[in-house]
Amino acid sequence: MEVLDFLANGFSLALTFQNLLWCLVGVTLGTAVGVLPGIGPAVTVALLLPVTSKIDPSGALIMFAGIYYGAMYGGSTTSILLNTPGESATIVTAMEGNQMAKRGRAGAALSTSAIGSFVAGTLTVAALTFVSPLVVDIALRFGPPEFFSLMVLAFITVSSVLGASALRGLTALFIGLAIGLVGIDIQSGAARFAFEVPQLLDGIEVVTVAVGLFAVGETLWVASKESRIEEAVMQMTDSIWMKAEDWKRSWKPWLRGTAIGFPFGAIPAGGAEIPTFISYAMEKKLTKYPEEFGKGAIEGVAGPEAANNAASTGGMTTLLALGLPTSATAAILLAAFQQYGLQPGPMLFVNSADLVWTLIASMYIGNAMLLVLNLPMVGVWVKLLKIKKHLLYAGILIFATLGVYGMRQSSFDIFLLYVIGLLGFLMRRYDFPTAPVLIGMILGPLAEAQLRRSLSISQGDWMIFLQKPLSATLLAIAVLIVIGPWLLRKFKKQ
Amino acid sequence: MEPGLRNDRASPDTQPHRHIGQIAVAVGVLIFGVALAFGTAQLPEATGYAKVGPRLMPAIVCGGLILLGLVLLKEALFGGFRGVDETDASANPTDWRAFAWITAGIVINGILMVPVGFVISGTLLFVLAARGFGSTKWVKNAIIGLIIAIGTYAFFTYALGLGLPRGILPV
Repeated sequence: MEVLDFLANGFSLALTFQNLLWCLVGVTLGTAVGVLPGIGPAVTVALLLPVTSKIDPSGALIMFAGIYYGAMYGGSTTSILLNTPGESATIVTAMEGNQMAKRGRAGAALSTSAIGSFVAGTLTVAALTFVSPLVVDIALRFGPPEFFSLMVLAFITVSSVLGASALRGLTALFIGLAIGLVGIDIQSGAARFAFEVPQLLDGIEVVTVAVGLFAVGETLWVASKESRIEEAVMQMTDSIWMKAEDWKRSWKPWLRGTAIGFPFGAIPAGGAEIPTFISYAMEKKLTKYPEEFGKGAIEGVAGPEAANNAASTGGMTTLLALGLPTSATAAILLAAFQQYGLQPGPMLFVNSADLVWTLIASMYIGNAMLLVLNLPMVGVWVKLLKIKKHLLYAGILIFATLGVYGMRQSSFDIFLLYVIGLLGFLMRRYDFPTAPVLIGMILGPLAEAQLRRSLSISQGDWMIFLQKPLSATLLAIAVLIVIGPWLLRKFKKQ
Repeated sequence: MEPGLRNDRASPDTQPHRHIGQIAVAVGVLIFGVALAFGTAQLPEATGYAKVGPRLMPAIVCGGLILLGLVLLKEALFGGFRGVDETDASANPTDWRAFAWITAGIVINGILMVPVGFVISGTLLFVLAARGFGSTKWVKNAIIGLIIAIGTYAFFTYALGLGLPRGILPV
């Protein structure tokens, strides 16, 4: 089989000392930032983007991907022991896992989530291995109109499906699109919205926006709203190794969570949160011990934890095969590819097959590393949870300001960082989702290029998007997602 | 959610509760869209027979923002943003003093970084931000901040190869 040859080649390249080291650095950092509240994989990858000028693409991308899926492992530790989700995709784990910890079953909870994450991670990387070439085969036949319509659909789902309100999601998306417009238009050379400020002519850095929204906005929020809340870290009193009974109750939820998480992560519908909720609801229905739910049922940890890991691999699949980011971190990974002049998507499999398959192989290796990091070595991460809030957030701000300044050696960017932090604070206050901002900013210029290419082909005729059947279908789905719920409500009223 | 339902519980009179912050946010989005529209109008016309140029995408974006701003304003004026619980929000008031400490830390860091160097301005940021979280152990925080600032400086300079302002310090 051709795929296996590619994969074998990928393993031979991923198993070099250097690449193994980058993988280890990535998954270790990923676990750490997953554990720590206030800093997540998106901010971490953004702050590390400058390494792209120092190391080769495979090393950097292996590390960044490791941070992305490693954060899912780390996030569960925080949810179980602290009852505050370390990552947004571990909200459900925070409910059931923390209950287990309260009843002296923290070890079993940590264990089922680490092993479940490993099972899900490995199975879904296998799925990625075999699914992505198929997707690539189809996508290679796409022209600019199909790609543009696909991006429109991604924009719509990312902003409408996630969060409480499609209106606020779309607003966030359009703010991101506007940020992406700033700077010199590559195709015509015209300066857009730069107001003669040299720093704006170069465009607004992805790092500034990601770090501003997620790190500075979060710090302002926690300091002014939640600094008085001090959580106690739970003690792990039982063994980290699961009993036979726990294995028996965990393995089916792991597999079900995996099956739910992968497709949900692959479609641009807001990342890993939704599948964890679905998995939790499903386990609650199927369990033989419904009375334990809400009081620490192991199934309620095993399923969602597998689901969020599966979703992160699903997101990688879409990013690699179609070039579409389905979450904020995936959007920054896309920016990392761009630093090397690479564009994820079907052509990447054709032009940079070695790189793609090395990256995929590294994900098998990284998941195995994560299992070791998060089971026998879980005690190390528990110590991270004991860092006092004021030291943690003040430290994050040092990293944030220095990383943002260093990108262009410009103090202007620090003030811009603060302004975007204010935006992040306001968005949190009024419940606007922030991921669409980043996706709009990074995917926007790509969508614009496809739009202009399409219209050049059709000599300015917009009907080109409806004349191509696939493009028309994608747009129809997008329209349905926006007006569907509204139409439904109108019908119900009558 | 039915408009007014939640608000009726908060205030016994049936007058819908209007939240000034929400209105401000909606107006802000609207102003942002209008400002972009002015900027878009100044962009060069599209050339060639395909009629696509640097103006097309900005026009779509500012149109979208104006439309979204109007709908947000409608929600803010009639029943409030859907799903945003203002009674809940007012139960947990913002600590503006903490907010100001953090703000001061970042802004002062931006001003001082180049003239005095990152290690000092970063330490200052650390102390001010820690104060924002309620810690008044100035000396201890300054020492921890100094160590983190030096470590970060070394990491970004030597591992990532970024040029950072050395300022008045010899290293």
